[in-house]
Amino acid sequence: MLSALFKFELKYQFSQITFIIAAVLFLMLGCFSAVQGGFGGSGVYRNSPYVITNIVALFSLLTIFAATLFCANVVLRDSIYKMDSVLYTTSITKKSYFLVRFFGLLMAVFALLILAVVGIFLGAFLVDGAEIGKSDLINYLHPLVVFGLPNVLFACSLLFCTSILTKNVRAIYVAGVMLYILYMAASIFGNSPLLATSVKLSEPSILPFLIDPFGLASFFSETRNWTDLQRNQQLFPVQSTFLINRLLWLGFSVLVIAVSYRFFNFRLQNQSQTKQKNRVVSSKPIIPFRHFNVLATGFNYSFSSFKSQFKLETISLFKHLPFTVILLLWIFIFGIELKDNILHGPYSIKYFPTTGAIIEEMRAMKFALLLLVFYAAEVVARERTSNIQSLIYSTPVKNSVLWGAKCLTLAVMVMVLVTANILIGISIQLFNDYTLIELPKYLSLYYYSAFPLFLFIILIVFIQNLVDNKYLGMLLSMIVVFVISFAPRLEIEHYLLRFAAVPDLQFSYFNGFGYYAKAFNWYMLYWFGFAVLLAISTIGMWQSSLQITFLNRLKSLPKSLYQSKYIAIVAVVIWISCGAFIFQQANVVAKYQSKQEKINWSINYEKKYKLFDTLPQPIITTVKIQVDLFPNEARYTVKGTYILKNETNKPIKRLWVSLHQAVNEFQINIPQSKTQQIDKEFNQQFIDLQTPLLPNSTLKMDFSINVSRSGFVDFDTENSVVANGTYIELEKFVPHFGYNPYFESEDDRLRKKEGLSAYQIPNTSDGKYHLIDFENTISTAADQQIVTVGALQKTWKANGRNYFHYKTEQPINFMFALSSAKYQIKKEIYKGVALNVYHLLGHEYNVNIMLKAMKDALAYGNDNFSKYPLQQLTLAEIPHYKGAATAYPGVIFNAERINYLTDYSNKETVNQSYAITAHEVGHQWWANILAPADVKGYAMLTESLAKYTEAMLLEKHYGKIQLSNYLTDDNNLYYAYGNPSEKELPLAQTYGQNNVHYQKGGLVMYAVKEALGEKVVNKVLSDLIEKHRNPNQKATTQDLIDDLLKVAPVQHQNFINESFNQVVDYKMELKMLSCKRLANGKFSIDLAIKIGKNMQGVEKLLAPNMDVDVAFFDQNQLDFNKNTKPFYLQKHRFNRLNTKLTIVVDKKPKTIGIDPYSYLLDANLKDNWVEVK
Amino acid sequence: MTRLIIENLSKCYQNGVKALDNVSLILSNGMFGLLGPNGAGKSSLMRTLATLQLPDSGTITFDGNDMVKNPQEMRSQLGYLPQDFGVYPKISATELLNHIAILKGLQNKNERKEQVQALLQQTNLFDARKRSVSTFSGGMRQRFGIAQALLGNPQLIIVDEPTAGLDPMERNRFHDLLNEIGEQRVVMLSTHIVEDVNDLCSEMAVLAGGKLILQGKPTELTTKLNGKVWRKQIEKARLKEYQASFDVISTRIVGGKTQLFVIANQQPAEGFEPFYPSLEEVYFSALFGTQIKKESLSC
Repeated sequence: MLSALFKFELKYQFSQITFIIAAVLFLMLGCFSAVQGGFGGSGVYRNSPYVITNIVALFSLLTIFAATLFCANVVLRDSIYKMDSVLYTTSITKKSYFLVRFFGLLMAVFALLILAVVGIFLGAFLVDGAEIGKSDLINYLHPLVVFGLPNVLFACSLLFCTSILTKNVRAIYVAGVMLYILYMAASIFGNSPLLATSVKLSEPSILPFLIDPFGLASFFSETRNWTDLQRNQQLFPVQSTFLINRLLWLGFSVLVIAVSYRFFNFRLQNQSQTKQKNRVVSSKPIIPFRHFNVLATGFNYSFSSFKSQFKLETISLFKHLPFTVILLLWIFIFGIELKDNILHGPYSIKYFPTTGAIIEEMRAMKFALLLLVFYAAEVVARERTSNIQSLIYSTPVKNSVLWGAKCLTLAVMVMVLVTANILIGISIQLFNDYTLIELPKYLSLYYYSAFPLFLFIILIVFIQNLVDNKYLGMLLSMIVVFVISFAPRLEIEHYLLRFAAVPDLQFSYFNGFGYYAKAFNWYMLYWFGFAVLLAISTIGMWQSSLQITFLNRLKSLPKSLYQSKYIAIVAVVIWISCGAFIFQQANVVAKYQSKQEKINWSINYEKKYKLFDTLPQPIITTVKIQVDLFPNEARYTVKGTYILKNETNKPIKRLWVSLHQAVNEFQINIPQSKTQQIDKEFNQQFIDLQTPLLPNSTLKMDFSINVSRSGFVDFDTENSVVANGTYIELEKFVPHFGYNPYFESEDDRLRKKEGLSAYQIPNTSDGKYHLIDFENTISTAADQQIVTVGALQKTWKANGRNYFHYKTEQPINFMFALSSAKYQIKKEIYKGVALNVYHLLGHEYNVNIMLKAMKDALAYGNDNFSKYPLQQLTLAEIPHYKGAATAYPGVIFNAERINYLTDYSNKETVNQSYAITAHEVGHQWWANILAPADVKGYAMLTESLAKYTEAMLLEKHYGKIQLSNYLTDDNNLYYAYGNPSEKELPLAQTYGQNNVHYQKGGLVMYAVKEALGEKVVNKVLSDLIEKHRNPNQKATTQDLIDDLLKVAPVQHQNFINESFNQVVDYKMELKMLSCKRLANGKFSIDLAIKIGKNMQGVEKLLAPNMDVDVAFFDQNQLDFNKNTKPFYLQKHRFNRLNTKLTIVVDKKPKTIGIDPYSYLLDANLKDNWVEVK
Repeated sequence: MTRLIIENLSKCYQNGVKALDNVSLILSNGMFGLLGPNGAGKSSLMRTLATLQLPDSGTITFDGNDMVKNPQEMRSQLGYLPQDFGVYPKISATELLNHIAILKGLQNKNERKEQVQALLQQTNLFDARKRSVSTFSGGMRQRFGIAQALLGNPQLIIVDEPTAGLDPMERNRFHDLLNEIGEQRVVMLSTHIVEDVNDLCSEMAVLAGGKLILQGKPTELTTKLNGKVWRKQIEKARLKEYQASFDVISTRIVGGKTQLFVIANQQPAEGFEPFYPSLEEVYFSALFGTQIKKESLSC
């Protein structure tokens, strides 16, 4: 009996159209994921256990949706089709009914995951053999058992419980969506690595791993540091936290099933009888029934029927409890997320909750699409679901009226969500005592957030109307939304092909959503035209009649198109003409390239031009240019002259001019030369000189370029011309000479396929300085100021424009960025150096502290490194896109948010505006005066030394204990930013690994200073500048390390050598054995200290050979403040893994720390401290 | 005056069931009863008349307007009570009637209000007018359905088994109402209850297997059959025997005994007594006629 029932149930499940589609989808997704890759890392096989586990674990989240649909469709079929009264009177028992339904659901959902795994297996056959490992059955089964089954069981049990206890379809949807939302909430709360967009540094705790019902947190955090080898061979071990997690949630699922079985009433739902109140019988006089004339045409009819239908739809939507629940959850989730992202930045920065930051964060409401898919299905199928369609559709109501009312209802829902978002934003501002609430900016969300969603409403309603089955429609619109959202991954990149998609809008107080705003309008208009066509088709094919087939409705399409032909024609004209305009702008003017085309471009560049690599080329000695910026037209032109010099020992006959891809047009002019055709694809041109340029002689070259940066080009933060807040790193866009190895593709797999040799890091440096004299006359809009390198000679107004003439006082490196904006200027003179801060009105909060940092850093550099060579130092605010600041000779461009809009009212945290400014001023020595040779490790001589300068200034001005917070952050970030699938290079050869030359480099330099002393290190550094500044040879890391080793006492040699030339970190642990009061009132403390050294390439922990600080504090760690000082601080020599120390001090310590300032690399800093009870 | 002309209407569903087979009818003002067994095509015909589905072939003209081509014009003159319908949840009876009245084109607010109130009273729903229709009992919901069908100024009222689930008092009340408004318009009523047709309708038709097998005025039809129906009380065990040798149109149990009705021009045999036929016998004899001619139905 049971098996027969079960067989029937499975057959029923498997024959559902939703199941079939979901099955195909999962199979394809599995296959696609395997083929596409991207789940492991470059050295990980596409079918490695790690990849399979990763995919299965992620897909198990997707099964929530499948389970929701199956539950609504299949489990509830008896009550939907009113079979229940029949069913409950048959001989079937409660137990068998329950078991059959539940396992039917479980099997159907689990079957999807199995199909996904089959998909992965099949997909592996489509991939190049080199990327495929051995295929073991266990690799496929293990994730299914460990992640698949428990997760499916969890989702199914909760959904089944909901369905069987409520017997309400909507409750199931709500449960499904809530499950998903709750999962996200748990991830956010638990700092799940899956969601960690920014690296967070909270203390590791077991809780997030336990509360994640899907076990993904454990998986991602435990495998984060797995090597490729582990990923290729190892199954995810079921042990410790993960094991507890699995058991916990398995138990929970079983409990839920038991509870639902216990409370499942195998009877009809009680009929809800509204109690009839004993009301007074109404004594209304009998109204005779009369007929009145009806008029079902005309505007008034349409309008009033629309109004009435709209009223009904909104009542049904909003009077519904689940919507309130969803809205509350929405507010909850977005509140948390927003608070997290808006307020907190790296290094415990607290941002001001500016309206700009909030609306940027909130604009894309991807989540709303999910709700739209669900609610569109509800709203469109409302008549069918409630079976009122024969009443409604036998009235003369127009299809367009119904369509309009339904779409408007969904639009109102979107507006409600936007409003909820705005309220969240305002509350966050008020809770943080931030009262600068900019309402117009918030209101702009009703356009930027809501409009794309309006277009989606039309699309989803179109799909929903196309199919008769509500669930099928839901599934289809889900697929469409998914495809649109992830189009770039499916290699559909062009925005003309991605419905209502726009580039991420970045907000800046300079320019609002400016850069893409114009393009946004065009894209919206373009898709609006298309949406109107969709709308007309939807109305034409409206499911107004029963039992009319899809084909019938398709046939009625031409007629309805014809009826609204004028609208259709206008829509087509809008759609096509906007499309043409966008195409012209993006593809013709801006030379659009897809990702693949970009890759091909660099391959082709190398193939075509590498062979000319040896052609001798001149260097540039003088740059004199005139730049005209047109902020409102998003374009600029550069005209100018180079003086070129032949520093090779061969005569130069042929000049090879190369321009950046972003340059739209250029022209080169050299008298007595023959210019060849410009290679437009690569922006290259050869010029043959009639008289060769002999060694050491010079040549004048004129050039002009045009660059247009409309919003139809991908945003380049280093080449942005916007209405306010233009920033161009101009040295990248003026003519260069010869071959550019940085264009080459680094992807060795691709290079092999294309027949190119393995990638080599370019080594083009001749080790010499090639400084230039620089002169620039820049014009911009009349209300803007320009900042660039050099000293400002004069400014004037002409032709309604502002002109600025800048000129360098002495030669500089080939670097000349510029910015243009409506600036306020704060000036000060410090020891003969003119300090300027150019900033936006209203961004004054941190200007004084930045000025102080400039002065402190100048003083420190002048005293310890070398004299600052220029007469001015300028700080110019630029929009916040990414990165914090960039240093140019005498000019620092720093980003608005992290520097200007950050709240440092808490004096206990490190002031990052100060730190960043100090760092960038440090670059005046470590990049501008001392330029490193362009070889591996050069970033150590710029970034590590700037980090060192920054740390020294923080130590001087905030004290060592505050600095230690900052060093602790660096310590954590070094590990957090590390890429486990890439081999880390030693600091001396650092290349492309930011965590090495920033975090680790700064810490190593500080540790070296601790070992050798500040004076000694700074002397080495100032000598390095003397030896290697222009016109001497540029410095390399080896020069610095050699100098340090020369002055280092023998006991520190090894530490210095290893820190720079090896990859080492430490494992330190402190335990207090006893704390005894001695007869003389002193205290004797016994400590057990473990210090081990990890070295790259060595498996076991090595014994150290170094000094490490041991410190005693008379405060608890929590009470540390900036005045805290240890009462005992001593460097002890350690050369064994385990050391016992006995220290006698005057008073009883409260806190003991080893390496208390955290400048030694240690993945776990917590066990370096002991609190004394 | 002829108002509704149905000509050669045929409809075949995708699963191969021929719901309507060349049906032609002509209707004037007044009530028209449609009889037929389950699955005879009554509801299909009514749905087609209610513009909710398209016929495969044939034409329907109402007051000279081709309904198939211009359903919109038809809908503004239509009152339709389907056999089975639901309602929007959480909407009260007044609100829903008001909504449907608007959709039907009753634009004047006062008129609308008056009509909604009147219909609520007529269908005895006035006290429940503020309750959500979805909480109504079966009978109340049926009455609500009647009320909404009469909204506006329908010229063609199609009611599919309107009195199913109504208690006798409500049924009478409804018949009165229908009778009253049916004078100036076309009312098509389908039912299983032959008596209703007898009481109410001036014209009737019988559908079976999608075909029109009988049409006429109830009184004429009974008169026509007079003298051809014979009754005999028999033992139940001998039913088979009788069925084999006589044209048995129906049997009826009266007081525990089986009564047999046979159609024949003369007394078929000993013990048969003449029986003055009611409309029920007309109906059964018509069905009996099709049974003999029954061929396999397919499209």
